[in-house]
Amino acid sequence: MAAAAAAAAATASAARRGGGGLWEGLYRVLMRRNSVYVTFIVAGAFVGERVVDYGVHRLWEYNNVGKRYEDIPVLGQRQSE
Amino acid sequence: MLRALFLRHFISTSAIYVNLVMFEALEISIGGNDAEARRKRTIWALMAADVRRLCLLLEESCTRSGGLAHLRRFRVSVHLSNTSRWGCKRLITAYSIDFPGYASETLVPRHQDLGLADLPATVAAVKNPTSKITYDEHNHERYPPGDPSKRAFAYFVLTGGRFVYASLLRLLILKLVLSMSPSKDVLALASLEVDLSNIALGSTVTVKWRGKPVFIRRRTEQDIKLANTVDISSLRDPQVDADRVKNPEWLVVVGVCTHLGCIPLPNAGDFGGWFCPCHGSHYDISGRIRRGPAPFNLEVPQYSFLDENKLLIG
Repeated sequence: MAAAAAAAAATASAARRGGGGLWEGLYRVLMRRNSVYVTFIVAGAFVGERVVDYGVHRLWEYNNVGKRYEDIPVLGQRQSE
Repeated sequence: MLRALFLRHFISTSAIYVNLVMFEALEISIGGNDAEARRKRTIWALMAADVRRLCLLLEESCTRSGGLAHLRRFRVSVHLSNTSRWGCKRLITAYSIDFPGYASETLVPRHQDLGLADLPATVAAVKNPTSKITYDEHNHERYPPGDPSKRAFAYFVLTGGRFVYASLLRLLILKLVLSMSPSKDVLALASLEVDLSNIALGSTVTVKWRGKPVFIRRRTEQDIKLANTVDISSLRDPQVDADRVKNPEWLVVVGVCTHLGCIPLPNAGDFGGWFCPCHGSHYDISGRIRRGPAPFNLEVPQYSFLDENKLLIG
């Protein structure tokens, strides 16, 4: 039991070091200069807004299947010149 | 084997403040039976005895005075012996004084044992910094010292929040700036200038004027001839083409069906003009109703030509 606990602790700390490396790496790239960080935030806000818009749009349509104008079978029009 | 405390001390008779520092115990073993070793052992023993006597004195005075209120203060000055003769280069002592009646363990380092009872605890804490900090781990566990911190992850969580704030800021700026654009009542009586230079012969352009679409068609000779070769009496709403246009080359009509308000489609219908898909009204190349349920021709708005290529509607 003690050995298992010790092994778990060892793997946890190892994983933390390994997984923490990703965050630390990103930190080193993005958060050294404030100009880079602010650019990252603006870009992230733009991308995030688009993602959220798309997600909510899809959710709306999923919730309102078949009720859109586009879902009506095409109206007949006489196109003559 | 000597259990030794190697600080020299002296007790001054005047009452000054004590700063008894707590360290760890050191076990010093001085073996050998030569004169040097014997001398060392004697001196160590004397030192140890001195400190023990000092501490006994403090204890005694404490119990005698019945508590911390009148603890006599002693000065303990410490000399560091740094030479190799003593075999140890660091100053380490160990003695802690347990005062009666104070058995509870608290998080705050209690400084009563240093004899500072008349100061409030906050002042005493500020004046006596200690490295032995106890953290309250009742609610949150503390990373042990030396653990790699979660700084980067925490910062990225905060960055997520800042994405939202940036989006909000953009929205606020847009709202503030666009609130200065003309309001609906102003637009309801507005005029519109249209540049006609880019409209090809025979093509139709739709512009938004007072919320309504306006069709501007640059008619060909053929269109004009077609518009004029209609029997006026057969029209539901008889109007001569010349009455509807200022310049026969340019037809300007409001693109709202006079039946129920749909927008007719250009280049559709049987009469070379517009066709309304809602109920099937046909308009000709002059915008007059020919077939279908609409009662009137397409409305001609007030317009004028500012110069050769500019049209002012309204």
